[in-house]
Amino acid sequence: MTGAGGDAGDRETAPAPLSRHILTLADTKRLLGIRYSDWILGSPSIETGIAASSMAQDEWGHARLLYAMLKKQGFDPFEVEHTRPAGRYYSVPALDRPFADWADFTAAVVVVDGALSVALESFAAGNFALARSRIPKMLAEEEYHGRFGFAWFSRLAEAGGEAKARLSEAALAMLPSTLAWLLPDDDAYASLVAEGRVLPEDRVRERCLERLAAVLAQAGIALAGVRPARKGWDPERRRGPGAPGEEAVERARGDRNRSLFVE
Amino acid sequence: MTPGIDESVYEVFARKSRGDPLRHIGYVDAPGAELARVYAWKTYDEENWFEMCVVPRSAVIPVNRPEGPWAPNLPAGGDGP
Repeated sequence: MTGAGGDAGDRETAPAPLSRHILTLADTKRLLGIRYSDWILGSPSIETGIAASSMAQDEWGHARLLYAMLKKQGFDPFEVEHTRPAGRYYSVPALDRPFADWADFTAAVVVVDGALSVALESFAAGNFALARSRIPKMLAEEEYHGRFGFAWFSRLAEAGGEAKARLSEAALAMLPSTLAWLLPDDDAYASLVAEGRVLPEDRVRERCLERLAAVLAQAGIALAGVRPARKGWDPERRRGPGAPGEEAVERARGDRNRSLFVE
Repeated sequence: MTPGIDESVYEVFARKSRGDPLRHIGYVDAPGAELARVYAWKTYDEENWFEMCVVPRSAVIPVNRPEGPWAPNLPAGGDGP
């Protein structure tokens, strides 16, 4: 893999801040699509499964558009998409393992997909031309993910009892690492802000609270009191320790179809 | 863990262009209006719709055919001429 701003496949060279930013958005979308796709069958209703399928495809389409942005950063998007090992993925830790149940799915739509939308809004508001032109359509499609997540979150929270308790547990498990991902406290992210690539941290934090605080409160979660998990922070991959499961990465890379690639 | 499914049927109507008539394109089962909107948009996404609406099946009142899926919504004494 070649990379003027760095090499995502080579541990010896960290990607430039803009490339890291694009990689983390794209990898998170790719993994989120895989986790959504696990629930195309087995979700609470046929319509819910269809929505999960559609959302999974949205995420993969968005991931491909984001990977393509790396081309002008000196990367070969094909290599980035199809050759990296799990330890070179930049996705949020909340997606490292499959969702255990529907509460996990619902919490991820609100917390992870919601944080992704906030990050995309911030990127689209910056001065990177490809982000300004391509991300607004992604955000329009994401509007339905938000509606889906908020409606299901409210439904489980209003049910009370075990449903509400499990939902709260799932969301609280995802929040600290996702908040650290959304607002990295490191030099690479600070340089993105300084160069006008993304909005300042306080604007992103404010937007995150606007989007998520009220819905999370339904499950008894005070978002303003959740501390980002920065222990073991890997500044190169913009995430905490660990990596997505190998099975998911094999699917993300398309290992089984490798001999059929025609691009 | 998931609460019992207490869903209603929502009829789905859509038009491709501003001047087109609304067409009945199908239905979805959903536990409320907000999820009905999402399910309809995600289920019937084969077209680039200009406009889509959902209507609770319970709100559709038949005019000239008292039988069919909307028969339960007939007003009292409204079972046809």
